[in-house]
Amino acid sequence: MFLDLLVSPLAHPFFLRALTAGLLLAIAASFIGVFVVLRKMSFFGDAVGHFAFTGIALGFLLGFDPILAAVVFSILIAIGVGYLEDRTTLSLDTTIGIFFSGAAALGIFLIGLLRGYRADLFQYLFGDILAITQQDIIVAALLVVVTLTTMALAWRPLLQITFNKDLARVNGVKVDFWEYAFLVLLALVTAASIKTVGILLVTALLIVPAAAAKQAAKNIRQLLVFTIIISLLSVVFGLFGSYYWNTASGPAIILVSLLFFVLSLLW
Amino acid sequence: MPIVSVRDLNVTLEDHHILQNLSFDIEAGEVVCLIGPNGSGKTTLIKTLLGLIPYMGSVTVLDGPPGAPRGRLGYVPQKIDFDRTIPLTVRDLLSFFTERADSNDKHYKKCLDLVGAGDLLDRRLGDLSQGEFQRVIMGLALHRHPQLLILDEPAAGVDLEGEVVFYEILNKLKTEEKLTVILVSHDLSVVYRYATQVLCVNHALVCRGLPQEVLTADTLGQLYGHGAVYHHPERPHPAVRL
Repeated sequence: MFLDLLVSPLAHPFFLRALTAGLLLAIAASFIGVFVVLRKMSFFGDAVGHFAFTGIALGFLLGFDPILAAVVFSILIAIGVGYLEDRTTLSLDTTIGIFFSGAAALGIFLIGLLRGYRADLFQYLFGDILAITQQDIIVAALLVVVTLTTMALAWRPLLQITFNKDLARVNGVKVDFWEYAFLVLLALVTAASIKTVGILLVTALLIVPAAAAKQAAKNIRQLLVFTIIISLLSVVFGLFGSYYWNTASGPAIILVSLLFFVLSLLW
Repeated sequence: MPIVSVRDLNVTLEDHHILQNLSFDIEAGEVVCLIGPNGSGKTTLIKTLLGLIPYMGSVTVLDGPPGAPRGRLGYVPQKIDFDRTIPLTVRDLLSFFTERADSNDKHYKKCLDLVGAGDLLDRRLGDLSQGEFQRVIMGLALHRHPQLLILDEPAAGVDLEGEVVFYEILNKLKTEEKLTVILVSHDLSVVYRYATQVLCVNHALVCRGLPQEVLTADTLGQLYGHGAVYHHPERPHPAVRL
């Protein structure tokens, strides 16, 4: 009976595609999520989701691949936020707030310019496992390779920067370079995760597993390992739940990760 | 050949002249204390020597420009604003600040033993007292056996007992590790006891010399305003913290 419940969704190619892409994205998102939580960048992560939304609207309007447009637009705006924060007296949350609302307004405006009802836009808002293609799996696999390669180099510098930027600089770390590299990676992972979890909940995929892991971890290695495990389990249980209850995949995945977070509070 | 040489140093940040026409030398083996009121530019001077901010003038640190002598220079910043809820152990901290070749418990323990913190390796940073935390940061600053150690109010927020331990360790290290030390301190008894040279900074270099020469009513009045008095530790008065 249990085995049937487990196996029957796997018989559908669309579910297998969603599961493969979801698991790959969970690994990439875990590495980014750890730093989003440690560096208190949740608001920034949320904003990147909105930048991606505008990118998708631009993609539809100009006839480009929406996810590619989301990736490019998110990276450009994320770098813009970092640049303005460095060169103005505005605080980071004010700068993000300006870009956040600006991007949302522009995205809604652009959608208004699209003719007719666009049902496919909703899959980007809430995530839709039916929409995941073979190409998305390849993109997710590439993203994991890029994330792991970058993190092999960036793990120690980023931890030094998280601890204290001046100490990192004195230790020879190129702080600006790694901070921008992280912003680019954050934008990439966010944009690539949109089809699975949706714009509205993409930040939760980054934050909630890492936040749950932070409650239980005793050292930094445990923090990363727990984050990866919670992310992977959230994707698996979330996608099965989404299949059986016939709901959007994004909310199902995030609800499972929230359950892990509640459990971590009882740890 | 001085280990630090500064000529006509000027630092302007956001249209504010923080440091004006500073010139001084620091010889190897010295313990140089920077004193001055809050906002006088002491931390700016430290950050200039570390290569963290732009400047005008000539600055040479360990035979090169500021920031270049990586590994030959250790730094203990002012109280670190660290999120104590992060699950980070002392071992974690040392592991990501040290070179991969030195990433082992033997090396970490050696660094921590120098500052009497060898037993803290497995502890979470968030669980350490401020005194223990600062000793770990000093152990970290020493991990590459630097020639020059720069400390910016290292005992700020540390209780009195911890402060005494900290400076005794620093004094011992200075001799054993043949360190040159630049130290920012508001505690004039520390300055009196340990400094071989005192630099009084109030945007410009107000005075410079041996502690006995510098810690006088006149120079302290010039630096902190009239009414500032220092009773030196050999007399039966408590040291005045300015």
